[in-house]
Amino acid sequence: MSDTFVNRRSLIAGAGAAAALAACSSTTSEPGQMPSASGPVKLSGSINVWGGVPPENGPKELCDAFMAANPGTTVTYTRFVNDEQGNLKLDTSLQGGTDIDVFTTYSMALLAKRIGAGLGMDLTQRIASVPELAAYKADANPIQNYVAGGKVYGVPAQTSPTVVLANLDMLKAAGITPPTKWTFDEYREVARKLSQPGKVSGSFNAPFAARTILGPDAWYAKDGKSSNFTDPAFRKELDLQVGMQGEQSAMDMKTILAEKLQVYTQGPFLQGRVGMINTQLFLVRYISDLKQFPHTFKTIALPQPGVSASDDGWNVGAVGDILSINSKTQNPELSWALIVFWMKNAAKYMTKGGRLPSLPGSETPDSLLSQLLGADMQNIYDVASFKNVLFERKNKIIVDTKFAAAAEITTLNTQLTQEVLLGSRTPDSWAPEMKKQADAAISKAG
Amino acid sequence: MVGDLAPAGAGPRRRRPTGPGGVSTRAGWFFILPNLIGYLAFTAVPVVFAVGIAFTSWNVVSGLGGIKPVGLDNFVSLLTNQQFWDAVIRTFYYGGVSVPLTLGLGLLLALALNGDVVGRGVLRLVFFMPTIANQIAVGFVWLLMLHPTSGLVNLALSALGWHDPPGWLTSQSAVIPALILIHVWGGVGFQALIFVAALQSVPSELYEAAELDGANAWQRFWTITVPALMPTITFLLVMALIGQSQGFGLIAFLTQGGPGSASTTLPYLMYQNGFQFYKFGYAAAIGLLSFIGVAILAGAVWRAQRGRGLQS
Repeated sequence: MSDTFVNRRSLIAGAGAAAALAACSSTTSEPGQMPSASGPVKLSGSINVWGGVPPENGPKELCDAFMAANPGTTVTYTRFVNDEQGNLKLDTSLQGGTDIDVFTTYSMALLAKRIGAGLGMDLTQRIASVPELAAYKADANPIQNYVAGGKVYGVPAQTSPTVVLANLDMLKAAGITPPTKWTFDEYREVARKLSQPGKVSGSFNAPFAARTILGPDAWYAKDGKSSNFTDPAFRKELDLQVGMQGEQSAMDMKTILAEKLQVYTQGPFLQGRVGMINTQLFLVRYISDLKQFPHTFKTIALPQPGVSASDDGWNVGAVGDILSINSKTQNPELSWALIVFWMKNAAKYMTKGGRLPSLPGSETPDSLLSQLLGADMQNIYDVASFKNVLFERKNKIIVDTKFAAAAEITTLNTQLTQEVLLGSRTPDSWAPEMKKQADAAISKAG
Repeated sequence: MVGDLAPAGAGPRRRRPTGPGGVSTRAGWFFILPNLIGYLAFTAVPVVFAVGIAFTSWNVVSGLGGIKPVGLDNFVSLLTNQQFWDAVIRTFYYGGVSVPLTLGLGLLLALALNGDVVGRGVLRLVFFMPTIANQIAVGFVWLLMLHPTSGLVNLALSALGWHDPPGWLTSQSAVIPALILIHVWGGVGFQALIFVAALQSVPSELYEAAELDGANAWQRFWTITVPALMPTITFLLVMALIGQSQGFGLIAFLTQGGPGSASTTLPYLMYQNGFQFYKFGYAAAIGLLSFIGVAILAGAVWRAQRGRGLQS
């Protein structure tokens, strides 16, 4: 069991540490040199970096800055599409000996597969040697990284808490004071009030109750050898989904499937067809793009609904953009130097692309927000609410550690939940069927 | 050939036409070499490899070193898995309706377009257009047309008095019929085009002779047109069966095997196991069983048409 705590204190502490290290390193090494036990190491050569973020959304500028700070080095960034085919392309390229030095993984389950196949270099010692990366050490408490056999193989450059984004104009029109803390049932009540049958659904989706209640490895029994879908938390989530769909306070599955809204979640929110959405932060890229998605309302960020008045539960967001070094790289020093640079400077270069960095570097919450929300943020967003939700609250982000048959279970969950929401399966039969099929898949996965 | 019948040494001396290692043979090999290399590299070797990995457990990420032989485990697992049999039934339903329907409508359309119809050339082009249209664009158009409440199809059905029309792509019972509709619409033009070409090669004297003998239109169709088209029907049927066993693009784009698993046919199940679950041995086993199934069906079609052609 592990988690990630992101709050203002840790961000400010991180910023302080980064500034201290930057000051320290500026006195001990020249640009282009890495401190080591035997003295500064001159960086040179070329490396290839594969990532899923389009170069123009930050990686190009970041790689250019690295090369400028390290004359004589060349970094080539290649974008792969972070979908099934794109990840397979990266995997086969890594296996086939394509010249890749640093690669990015966007899910812990996939990282586990890559590490299991020996594609990633052991970074345990390197991570331990950089003070700012202490949170990602193998023995960190709480664990915030994928740990295999006591070793760690990557560092997450992004943290992405789940939040509720809401249409502030709709909330005001319904006379609702934006809550700073709420439960699943209170969320449902607000969604009900925002709903206008046949026109507006109060919410796009129901809260992700099961994982909020259960935390990491929610799908698995403690020993990891069977599934956990008969836990009442899953029934709670299903009841919320069915109930909210039934009373039209959440968008119905038929409409979601008919318009492929599971892929284009931003659509109904920006068209004013739903009042709220449980989502990660990537949605701000669309909200800020008034040219492509014109809208006049302001968006407010609200915390993810919690288990009870006294228990916020776990945040079902994720740590992501996990940077690893190919175990076959010819230039591990330069690769590692880039990763450290990336971690320390992601705040500066990647935030504007909608990615909240794991380390704030020298950025403050205000400067991060201005990059995240864009130049027009005062007109588009309730900025103070974002500051509160992202930096002033303690978001306990889930970091899973068990991944047996994870892809199969994801598909199974989607299929059976769709069947319930489309009316061809009873809610009572969901848990036994999920357990039966998930147990079989886990058993086969060994 | 005349040359073969002529006595040795008779007639003008000619360069040997072909022979092992001769210039012409080498030139022939030279011409087919690019295609042969492509075939070996991108078809033959992968097919043999796929057959091999059907008997292994392999997740690709672990590379060739991660291939573990498992004997018949994948096949046993498949044949005892309800999801597999559900996918088999869906594939038969989807293919069993869409293939004959496309073929039949293609033939009817061809017969219409083969007659003296005004604007025949333009109509042929119009009906052939879906075949060359971008599949994603076609998918998007159908997605809009089949929307349960605002789609043209259901608006039309409602206007005709059907108060509760199907949810099409969002309904577990109507998703396969919806896919059949799209498939037939997309394939009928191509089939008609091939049929038109075949119809034009049927000797008109046969129809004239039959007419003189007093055969009516149905008898002429059944005794001349159908036998004359038998090789074309066989070709199109076998190609359609092969296409059905490989095609998953429409399903991947429109339904991702859903709602629930209602449109998870064998090709999509294979894709899901390979590309989503990284179970490439298992996916290859699905592919191999599909291949065997299609080969049996194609063999049956071939046997069934023997002796029914015009020449026979």
